[in-house]
Parts: sequence; C-alpha cells; structure tokens
Amino acid sequence: MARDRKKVTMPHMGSISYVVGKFLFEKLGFEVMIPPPIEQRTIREGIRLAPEQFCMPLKISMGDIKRCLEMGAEAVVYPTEVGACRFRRYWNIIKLRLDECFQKDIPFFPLIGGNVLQSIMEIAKREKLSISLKQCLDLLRTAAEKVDRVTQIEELVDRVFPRTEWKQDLRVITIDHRNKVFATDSPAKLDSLTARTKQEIESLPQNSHEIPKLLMIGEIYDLLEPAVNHNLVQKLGRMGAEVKKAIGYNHLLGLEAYRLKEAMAKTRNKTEAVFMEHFSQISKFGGLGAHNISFARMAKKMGYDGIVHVYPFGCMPEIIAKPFVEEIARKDHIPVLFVELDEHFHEELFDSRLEAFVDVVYGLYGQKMNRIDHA
Amino acid sequence: MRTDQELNAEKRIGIPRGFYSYKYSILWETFFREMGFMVVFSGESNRALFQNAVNRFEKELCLPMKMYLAHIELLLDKSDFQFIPQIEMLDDGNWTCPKIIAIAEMANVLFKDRLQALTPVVRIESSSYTIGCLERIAVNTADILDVDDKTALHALRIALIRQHEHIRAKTSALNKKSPGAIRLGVIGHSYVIGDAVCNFSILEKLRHIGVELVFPENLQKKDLDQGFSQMQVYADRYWVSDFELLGAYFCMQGDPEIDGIVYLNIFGCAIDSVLEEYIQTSKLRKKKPYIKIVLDEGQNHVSMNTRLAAFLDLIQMRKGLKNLMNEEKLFG
Repeated sequence: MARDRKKVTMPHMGSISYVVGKFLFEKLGFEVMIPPPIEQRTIREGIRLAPEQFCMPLKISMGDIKRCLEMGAEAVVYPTEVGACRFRRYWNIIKLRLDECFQKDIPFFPLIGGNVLQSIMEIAKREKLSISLKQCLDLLRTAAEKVDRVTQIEELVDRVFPRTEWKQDLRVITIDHRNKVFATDSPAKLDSLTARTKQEIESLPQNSHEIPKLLMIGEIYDLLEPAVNHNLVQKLGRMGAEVKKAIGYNHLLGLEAYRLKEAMAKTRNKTEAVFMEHFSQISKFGGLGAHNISFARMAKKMGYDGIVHVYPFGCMPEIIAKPFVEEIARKDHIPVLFVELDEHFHEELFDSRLEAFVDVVYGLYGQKMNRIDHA
Repeated sequence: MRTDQELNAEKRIGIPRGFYSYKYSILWETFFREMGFMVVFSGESNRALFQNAVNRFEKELCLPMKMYLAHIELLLDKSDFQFIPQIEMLDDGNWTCPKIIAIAEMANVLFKDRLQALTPVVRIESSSYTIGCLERIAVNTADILDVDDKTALHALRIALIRQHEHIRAKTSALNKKSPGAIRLGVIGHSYVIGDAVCNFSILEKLRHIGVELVFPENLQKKDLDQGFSQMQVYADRYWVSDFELLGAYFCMQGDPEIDGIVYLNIFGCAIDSVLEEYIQTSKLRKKKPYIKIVLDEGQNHVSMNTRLAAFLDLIQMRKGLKNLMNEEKLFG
C-alpha cells in the first residue's frame, strides 16, 4: 500500500518495540517510527514535560514519544492494563500533556494487556482497516513466536555474558538476531534461525568457573529496558554474577496466550501455585507486585544465590512488595539488593553498591577466591 | 443498641483508625456491638504516634498508611481481634488503592503472631450485589467469632441502617452560608480529612478563624454524579476516589456559594497524582481560586500557614473585602 500511510510511534521497552510493535503495525498498514535509543536527551525532555509525582517509566516513555512526534509521527501506540495500579491511566495522562504541548489532538491507540486482540480490532475499526479476526489472530500468534525467540536468545546471552571475554560479540549477535527475527515470519524458519544463533553464541570461548546466580525481580519496564536500569545485568555480569530476569516481555501484553502451547501455561501455573500457598487468594494489588513476591519465594528453591529487586521511585505495587521480599530474604538467608531508580543517578555510587552486594553474594557462595573481575 | 454491660469482654474487637474506618466506622462498630462484642478504637492520632509511624515503618509508604500501621500496633495489646478488611472494590467494581488492598497482609508480615486479624475481602463488582456481598462477609466473620448466622445478619441489618442515617446526617449538615463568611471546598481522601495529624491540622486552623468548610461527604450523590460527568477527558470510573474527588471538585466549581477549593494531596499517592493532573488540565480550572497542598512527614507548619494566609487573602480580595488579617489570625 503505497498510499499515505499513517505514521505511528511507540515507546521503547527492551526489544519489544522492534519485534512486536514494528511487526504488528506495519502488517496492519501503518508506517512505524521507532524512537531513537534512550539517551540523556530523552530523559531530560521527559522530565521537563511529565508531571513531577509520576514514576520513571512514564517520564522516559513520554520523552520517547515527544521526540518522535517532533520528527513527524502522527499517532501513538501505548500499552495499558487492568488493575489497581495507575499504569492504566498513563496513556491518558501522556495524551493530555502532549496535546497541550503540540496544540493538537494526537490520536492514541491503547493496547490492553491480556486483551491485545480486542484492542487491535478496535484500532482497525477506528482507522477503517480491512482486517478479519482470523488474520489478526494469526498476526498475534506470529508476534508471540517472535517474542519467544528473542527472549530465548536474550536469556542465553545473559547466561553466557559473565563467562566469556567476547562481550562485544554477544551484543552484535543479539542485535543481528533481533533484526533477522523481525524479517522472518514462519515458525520453522524462526526455529532454525534461533538454533543457529544459539550455536554461534555457545561456540564463543567460555571459562568453566562456577559463578553465583542472581534472580532479578521488579517492575517490568525497569527490568527489561537496559537504558533505564543503567545496564544492571551487564554490570553485575562484569563483576562475575549471572543474572536471570524473572519476568519477560510476555508479561506486559499477555502474548503467551496466543502461542497456545502447554509449556507456557505450565510455567504460569507454577507461579500461581506458589501464590496460592502464601496468599489466601490471588491478591491483585496492581502491576506485578504479587508475582514478584512469589518469585522471591521460589528463589532459594530454584538455586539462586541472591535477589535483585528493581523498581522506580513511587511505584506503589513494588513498595508494597518490598517488605514481603525483605521478610522472605530474612527467612531464607538469601541476600537481597533493592535498586530504586529515578532521574537522579550517580554512576560511582551505584557501582560501589553493586560491588558490595556481589561481595556479599560471593562470601556466602564460598568461592571468593575464584572471583573473575573484568571491570 | 446494646449497653456496655451486656457485651462480651473476653473477645474485644479492635478497629484501628485509618483508611476506610473514617468512612465506615459506624457500620463496623454497630455490627460488632450488635453481635455482643466489645469494640475498642485506637483513638485519635497524636504526635507520639506520628513519630513512631515515621521512624518505624518502610520509608516510602504514604503517610496515612504509616499512621494506620502505627494504630494497629497500638491496639495489639488492647484487643483480641483486629478488624482490618481488605477492601479491593467498592461501588460498581471501582478499585480502591494497592496499599489498602495489601494492608492486612503487610500487617501480618510486620507484627507476625502478635496480631490476630479479621481480614475479610471486600470485592463488590456491581452495586446490585452489595447486600449479598456484605451478608457473605458478615457470616464468614461471625463463623470465626463463634456467632450464629442469624445474629450476624441481624447485626448487619442494624449496622447498615445506622450507617445510612450517618450518611444522611452528613449530607444534610450543609447549612446556608452566613453572610460575609468565606466558604471553602476541601477535597481529599476521607482518611486525610479525618486525621488531624495527616492533614497537619489545616482544617482545624481554618475553622478556628471562621472559614466554613465543605467536604465531599457533605455533597449529594447525584451532585457528585453530575460533577463527574463534566469531566470531558475520561468518562470511565476506575478508582473509588475518582468519583468522590473529581465529582466533588467539579461540583464545587459550579456551586456559587463556594469561594475557593483546597486539595489535600498526599505525597507518594498514585491516585492523587493522577487526579491532580486531570484537575490541572481541565478547562474549568481557572474559574475559582484553587490550592494544592502536598502533605508528607517533612511538612512545615510555618510555611503552610503563610500559604494558607496568602490563599485566603486572594479570596478576600476577589470578594472586595479589605480586612486582610489572615496571616496574623493564623499565627496568633
């Protein structure tokens, strides 16, 4: 369709805007503008424009969107969800502020987490696109497959990163794989592509030291966007600790529902079973707070040596989760690091906190002598 | 109503002051008293309790939540059971707040075995199920306390009547404005308006110098409805406070008797930050003088007095009054 295609934009969150956002909306018949990588300017513009009492994710995504609107984007796609957290109203708050800033009515397309299908059908209806329910479902299934492949590779990279000295290569391979996944649609091809990339990563020279494993829990945006958590995973990796993220891209939009595979359902049921053990009912106090508590509860059993809890300043669900995580850590004798992120950041202080934490983990791990430090 | 002699003093029910207890204390108290239990309140907040709350609990929690936890701690030795409901949804499936939902579980983590709590989950997804939902909660609570269902349901019925009378008394309490007086609309959560420590006695000070105050609870439900419908940007109700605060704000904007509006905003409250944003961007914003006061534990009484005095001066100037003595009155 060469006719005037509407330019839409969406904020960053790890690789999801490249893989799902760009793919879905280009197939729907839009032109997609991905914002420039998050840098100081994005953060500065977001902070200047956003209301002060809001959390970091809103401010940075606002900066992302504003920069794209300046470059000519016409509409905005923004994820949202249902629950007690204020995240559901974020797209509305951003719209109010940007409308005032650009002096026009900017169309927003909210994508409701867990109900993406309906949201996309609504967008199609609004924009008069000819797309059937089946086509839309197929698109979402492909998107879910893609997200899964990207997650697989990113998890492998996180595992290999502290063990190899070829760290730059890993970055190149990840970006290359992401671009290839974007261009490939069929599941069989995606499988072979992922298998090839996995082989490539595993063929890199690795040392065989035993190193401690950390579980990273917390607010999803801070967890998945390296520019916001200041490359926490890689920093810890360089200090000699392997980090596994408890929450993946799937949790935001609930895309795993469209993959219709038993394996995905199984992992979800496992977390929910832990939930039911400790809560009288699945208490939904918003965001992923309750999920994080159950992840923390499982950490010791799953063989992790420490927990890293990441959350933005002023995040209600995570502040509530914090005393629970503290209590669990005390009971299980597992070290825990709380990383609270906001727009004020001091690299050296941050690093020394991480180093102290890794020291504690190593002390408990009993392998301090073997510590590798490439930093 | 039963007399104190008839009550069972072996099972004392403690009701900590905080969050929804300001709104529903009549309902809860009557319910337990009618079932034959002695009810103990934790009393008004004071300076010592405030210090304890600020020093002892998780720093980032909002002030009302810290105060609530301090009230729970106060009642630990004075009562056998504490009533800490987990209120998730009220009215038509409107959410309360993550902190209110998780408070009972958090208190369990903090006080462990010392706390024996009754924590029914209140989840009213549609207003037509309200009575059914409350009856189920009443029966479940009565089971824990070894009371038969019939007594519990009877107690609930009386309690609901009392609560209804209480609400009606509040809404009809609004008198005609006395000539020359200043009348301010105050919006804020019921637990901020009710707790003099949380609101840093702002309301007391204003009343003391003769300012008349109107709260969201004084307004009729249909007026709130009408007020809320004036908010053009977002028609969907999501939190309980949406309707209560935004409805009250727009209703007060349209009321010619009200001279200005005060918003008591709690630092770190997600709901307040969103509602404040809607008020700031609304088109009706500039009709009446409006002041937002952000409250946290670092609040300074002197700077607060100065701000209030300036706000009152502004209102008096708009009304053409000359005696601008607010600052002296407030400090005096």
